[in-house]
Amino acid sequence: MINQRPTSYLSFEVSGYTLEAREEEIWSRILMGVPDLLRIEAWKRLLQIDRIKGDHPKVYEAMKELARRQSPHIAQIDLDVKRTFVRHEWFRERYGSKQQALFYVLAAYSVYNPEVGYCQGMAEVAALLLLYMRTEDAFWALSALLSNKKYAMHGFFLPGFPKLMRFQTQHEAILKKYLPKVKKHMDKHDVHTNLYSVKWFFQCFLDRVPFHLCLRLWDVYLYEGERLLIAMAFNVFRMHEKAVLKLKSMDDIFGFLQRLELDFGYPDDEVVKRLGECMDELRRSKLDLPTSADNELPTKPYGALFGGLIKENQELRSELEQAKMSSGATAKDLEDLDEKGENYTEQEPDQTIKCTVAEREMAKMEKLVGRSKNGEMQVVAKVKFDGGSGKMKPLLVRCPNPGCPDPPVNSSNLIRHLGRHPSNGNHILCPITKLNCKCARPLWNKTRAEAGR
Amino acid sequence: MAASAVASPRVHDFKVVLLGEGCVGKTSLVLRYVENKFNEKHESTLQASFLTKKLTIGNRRVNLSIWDTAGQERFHALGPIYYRDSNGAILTYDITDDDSFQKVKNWVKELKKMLGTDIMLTIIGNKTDLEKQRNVSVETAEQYAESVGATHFQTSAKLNRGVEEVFLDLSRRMIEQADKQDAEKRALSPSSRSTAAGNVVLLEETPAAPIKSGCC
Repeated sequence: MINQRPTSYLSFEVSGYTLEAREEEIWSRILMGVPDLLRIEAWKRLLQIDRIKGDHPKVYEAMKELARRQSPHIAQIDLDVKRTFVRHEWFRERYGSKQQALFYVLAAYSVYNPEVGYCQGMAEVAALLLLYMRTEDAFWALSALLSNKKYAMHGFFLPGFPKLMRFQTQHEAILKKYLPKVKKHMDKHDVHTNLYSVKWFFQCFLDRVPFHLCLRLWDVYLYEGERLLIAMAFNVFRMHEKAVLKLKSMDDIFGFLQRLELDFGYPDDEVVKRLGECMDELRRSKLDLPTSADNELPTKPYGALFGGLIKENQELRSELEQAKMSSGATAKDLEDLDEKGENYTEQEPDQTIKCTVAEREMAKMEKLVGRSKNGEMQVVAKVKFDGGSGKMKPLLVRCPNPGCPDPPVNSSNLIRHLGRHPSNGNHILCPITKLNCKCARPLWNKTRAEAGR
Repeated sequence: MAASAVASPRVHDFKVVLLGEGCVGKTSLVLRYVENKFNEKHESTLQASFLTKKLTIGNRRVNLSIWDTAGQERFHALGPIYYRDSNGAILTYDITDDDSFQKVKNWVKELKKMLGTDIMLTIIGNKTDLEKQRNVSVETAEQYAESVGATHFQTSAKLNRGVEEVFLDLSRRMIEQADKQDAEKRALSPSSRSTAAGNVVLLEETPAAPIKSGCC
């Protein structure tokens, strides 16, 4: 079936503009989930990256260059790049090609849109984009996500987080109307919306639901825009209403919401189907979006520093230096900043990005293994780096199914192991990765010096 | 529950919030303390998260819920949601970074202003494993901590130095504070004791007697 999907799918955007009937079909296909191999193309089209890129030739390169000299956010970006998606193989190596790409995207964007600059949370979004796109595309995708009205993440990351407040208020209003018991329960136990919804809204549920589900949500998000955020926030509580009402303290409720990342408790298809219902319902009652607000889109021209780049370059530099001096920084700090930029000198290899579900899910699995709390998965032995052969000794992990009597297995065999283990009636897929055992590909043989520590 | 039986073994639920600049080691401290783990490559904290730890001090049982927050300046705005109702705050700086120490001072000012003396403050200089690159002197930090009524510790989450002590000391002080508040409450409203239900029995003489005679 997947083989048949591509052709009709690839044409969706073009036909989406003109044909109503076609639009219907796109929606149902998006709800079914974009086939992973097509995500690269689909996301690029939904964000209209090729068009934007064509309209702004050489801007990315210029921003990158400018950022290395002048971005006031370099230090923070440098701190965060090494802490983003670190459990993913691609982002693990310090100053490796993906870390470089991430650094450049964020640094370039921090001067391109100086109002937002850089805000924590953007790194994860950019890293997700970089799983599917080349560096420059990811830059424009990030730009589209922030400044396209449909997504308008600009308002989320702006100092003071005006859009976050607006969305949280709307979320509370929806809970009050549709799930009054939950709302009362949450209020009673002091679970403020802010305690759980920051990542929901800032990063469209990245890190808050299992990664495979998150990708499905991003499919819908890129197609539908910001109303997805409101609808999914509602959907989480609608699907888990009973479970939440049973919890008797703030700690338990908060812990429950935190654990949704490991296991959402429903199959992805069902979650997305019910999400579609939520969207319809909210749209009918006109609660699908909060009242719009001014001041949440960029007001300054993009790349404000870019205008007379060459002429003003020197001037700006000295201005910036003065500003830094007066704020207590020293010339040495500036040099340090430059050095930080220098570390990212190597241009990324021009690799064709091919990312299979198996690879990413293995990385996710690794993440679970690394976390090893909540008794979900036990780390029995740590990875040891064997310098001689340059190979990793494997991690031994237990099946996350608490009733499983089997001994710990090599993590690269875990998926296969789980496949054999009927955790869910006749369901022979791994309950966490949703992968058939045949997809399992050992990633552990690759050399990773830093993981050996 | 709060007004009853000081002498009996009692469970305290304390909320502790970790504040401080980005990348000073807040998450590492909590992870070291709660799970005894150190990971040089954990992800940056955006959504505040929390972990719990149970400990016993003397005959007191303490449940700590420890809130870990985002460090970037911009997230300062969300601070009040996390520190309101906190019994203790751990303000962390990086000993190699003077700016992060200045941030601690800002937090202290804000907490004092918003919560007065109700909240117990602990200031931590983290990353003592990088002693050679130290930029904040111990004396300066200790003097400052004393001047604002906070305790000061030096830790290394990486080498597991001093982490346990921080939480132990803070817990002790939070217990003292809770006792003090209980005592004040009792002093203010002695009548409320008799109306409190259930487990008041231990300290009350008058209601205890009839019950005794009743069951014999």
